[in-house]
Amino acid sequence: MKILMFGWEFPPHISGGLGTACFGLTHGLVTHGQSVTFVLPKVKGGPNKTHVSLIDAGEVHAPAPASVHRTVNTWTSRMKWLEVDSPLTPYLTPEAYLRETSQLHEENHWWTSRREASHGKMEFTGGYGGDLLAEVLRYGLVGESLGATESFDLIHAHDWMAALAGAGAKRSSGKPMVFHIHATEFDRCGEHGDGRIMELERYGLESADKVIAVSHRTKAIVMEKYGIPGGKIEVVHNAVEKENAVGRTNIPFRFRDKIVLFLGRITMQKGPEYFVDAAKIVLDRWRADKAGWARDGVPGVRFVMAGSGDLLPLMIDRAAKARIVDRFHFTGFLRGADVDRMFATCDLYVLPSVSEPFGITPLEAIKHDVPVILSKQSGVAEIMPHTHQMDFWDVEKMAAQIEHILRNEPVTRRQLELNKEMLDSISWDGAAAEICGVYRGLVPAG
Amino acid sequence: MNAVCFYFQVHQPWRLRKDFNFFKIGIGHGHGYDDDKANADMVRQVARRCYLPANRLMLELIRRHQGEFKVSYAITGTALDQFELYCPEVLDSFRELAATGCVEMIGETYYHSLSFLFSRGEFRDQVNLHREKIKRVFGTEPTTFRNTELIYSNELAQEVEALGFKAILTEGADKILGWRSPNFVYMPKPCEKLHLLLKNYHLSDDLAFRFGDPTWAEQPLTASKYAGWIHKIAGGSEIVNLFMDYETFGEHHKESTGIFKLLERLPEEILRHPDFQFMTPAEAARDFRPVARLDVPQNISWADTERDTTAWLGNPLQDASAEQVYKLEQAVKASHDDLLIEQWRRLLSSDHFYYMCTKWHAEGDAHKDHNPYTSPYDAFMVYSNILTDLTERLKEMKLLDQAA
Repeated sequence: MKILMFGWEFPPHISGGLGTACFGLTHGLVTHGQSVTFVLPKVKGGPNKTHVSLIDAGEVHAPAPASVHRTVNTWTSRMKWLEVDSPLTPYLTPEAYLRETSQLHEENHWWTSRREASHGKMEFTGGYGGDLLAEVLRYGLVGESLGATESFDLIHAHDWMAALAGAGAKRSSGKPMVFHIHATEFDRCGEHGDGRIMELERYGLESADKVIAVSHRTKAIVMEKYGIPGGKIEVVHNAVEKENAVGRTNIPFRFRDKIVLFLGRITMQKGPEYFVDAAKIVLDRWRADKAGWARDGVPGVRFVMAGSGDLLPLMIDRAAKARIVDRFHFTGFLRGADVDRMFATCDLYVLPSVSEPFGITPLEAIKHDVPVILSKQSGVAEIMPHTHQMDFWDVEKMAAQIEHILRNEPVTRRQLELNKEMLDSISWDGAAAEICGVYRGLVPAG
Repeated sequence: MNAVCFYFQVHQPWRLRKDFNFFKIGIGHGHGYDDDKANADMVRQVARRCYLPANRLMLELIRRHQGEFKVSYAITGTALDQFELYCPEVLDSFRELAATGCVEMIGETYYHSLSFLFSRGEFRDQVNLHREKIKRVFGTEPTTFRNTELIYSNELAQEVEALGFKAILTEGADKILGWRSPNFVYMPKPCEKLHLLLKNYHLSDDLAFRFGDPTWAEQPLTASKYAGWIHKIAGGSEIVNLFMDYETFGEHHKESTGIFKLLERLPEEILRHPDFQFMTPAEAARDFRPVARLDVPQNISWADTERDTTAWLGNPLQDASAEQVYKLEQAVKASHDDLLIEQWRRLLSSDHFYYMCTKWHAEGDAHKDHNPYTSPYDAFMVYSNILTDLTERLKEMKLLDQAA
């Protein structure tokens, strides 16, 4: 089967969590005999040798103005904010007014910003900058265009950035569309998300023939917050690449203390403040009974918050106010090799997320032989039954579990073994097999 | 007779390595907390723009006025050490000035620290270290004291008197003076001998800050205009204390602003009035009788509009860091390891806490000056990592309990 796939990230072209997942998934799909054409907003550098064929959205000819006009009308009928006076306008520059589209109605000029007059192509940075929404719209037009020109059997779009592109390709090709939800705006921002992004998510969900959610938790959110019927949604859990783990013994280390790690973006979604509060409780308990902890093989405890994000200053304030900064450390943003080092350095990983569609980091931790504690509000908890779990807000319980794991080495080891078995049983190959099942339901002949 | 008393603060901290991240803890074995390049660059830059040309001018003025023009300096130990290391010619030029007999060298804490607020023992140690350093470098023993950033209180005055100083400087803050004038010599409430000199902040800040403000109504400020303002106080007072950063000349106000030209003409303009003369703080303390006792129960300083210690302490980052670093005092001193003690003391410089200041509103500009960090949180992270590294070294040396 030939798959036309839309996604905002693909390593090495921005590899956040989404890029990593797209890479693993497509690798699995290709192994299962699918052929994947992946459309990225921007393909950086020279020719890329990879298992998919990459298309650079900036190299694609946009649809004819008349067709563009039709598309934009479809969008505006669904999403009120796309109208001329919407707050989106500030994202677009005056240069956006393009000669080629001047024949369109005045009110429709703004969305086709930065089309190069001579080639009928559009410009993308492929990042997450201030122009993101405008790029997403242009990416949508590219999807529409490719739907008419490419030959393929099925469309697969990842997250809201690709909603319009997927739906556009479906409209121009009449081929079925799978919309893959890795995270919703609700996960990222709770009840205070960006309405425009939620509208795009809803548009993608409603346009799709089938929705793939990365966890049952995400499926529930898609049903509850977006009103999508459960029968339309399949759950396919993510996996993790198993190579490249740095062995714990390869790290020269200095602290004899046990180290408890938070690693991720320091944002509301990840629940960093609950980690700080639990750390305070644990450190108080340890200080009250150092000898007892030492007898259990814990000479001391330290906490590390690795990563950066808008809440980092607040977390530093919080830890300093609690007077635990002698044993609570901040690393700032970590890059590839340092992430591995961090995992290899710690003794326990805590994922206190307020809302985590999946959450790959606990699997990374297991890969590095590090036991984990998960919030019940994380999708990954569904595939890790042999872990300590708590509600993200229950810092007392989080603290108790941290203490329990640190002070009970045998329990820790047993749990870790079970989790390693689980890790062995999951793979991108397996996830891809499930996705192939979804495809076959939509394209029986494939 | 009216006196004009100049005192200039000269300070350079040992700036820390900004790349001292979490992974560096415990592996450097203490080799290098300082950003050698940043320190060398900054000290040499300020030397080129300020210390060298300003010292040259001061020397010329002292010679030209044949003993009539006098100034005083408080040069911190960390500044002197960096001059020795990075530009010894600065040290030579200060020595030349000191040798004229018209320049007083003032005592303070060696590391420009907040030690008085945290540890009396460390405070005394640093004052004595600085006293010895000044003796070694300039051959004179300071009799006037100024605490870091003019931080001052009754308690401090008492301590400083006990250490044998004859005069002390602080800010002529409205909140301690009330209706009284800063233009007299006072005596600290709990003291018997110590004389207190107060900064005239209006006239000092005209030169230190407003000179460079293009929106100031008094632009352009000339030597004769400024001297005129000083002369105006004749009759109603005894002494005008002009206290400021030495970097006012050439660094805060670049040479192109004409600040050196103003300074060059200033002594003659002031001396034009027959009732005026220049005095060093020690001379003022000797020649003027205190007009009253001044009660300062709370800490004051010369910083910001609050004139308190909130530029260095008060937010959780600053307070937690300060508590943590001073807590190590005993263990550090027990090591008898000179390098370790020196490294710890460099961490006591008030600058590190100043970089962690989060009250960025009105004083934003003043705080940004020469701040190596873009955010107080970055400053905190670096400081915290270095402090943790130092603590781990003390544990390795068995000077601290593993579980401390």
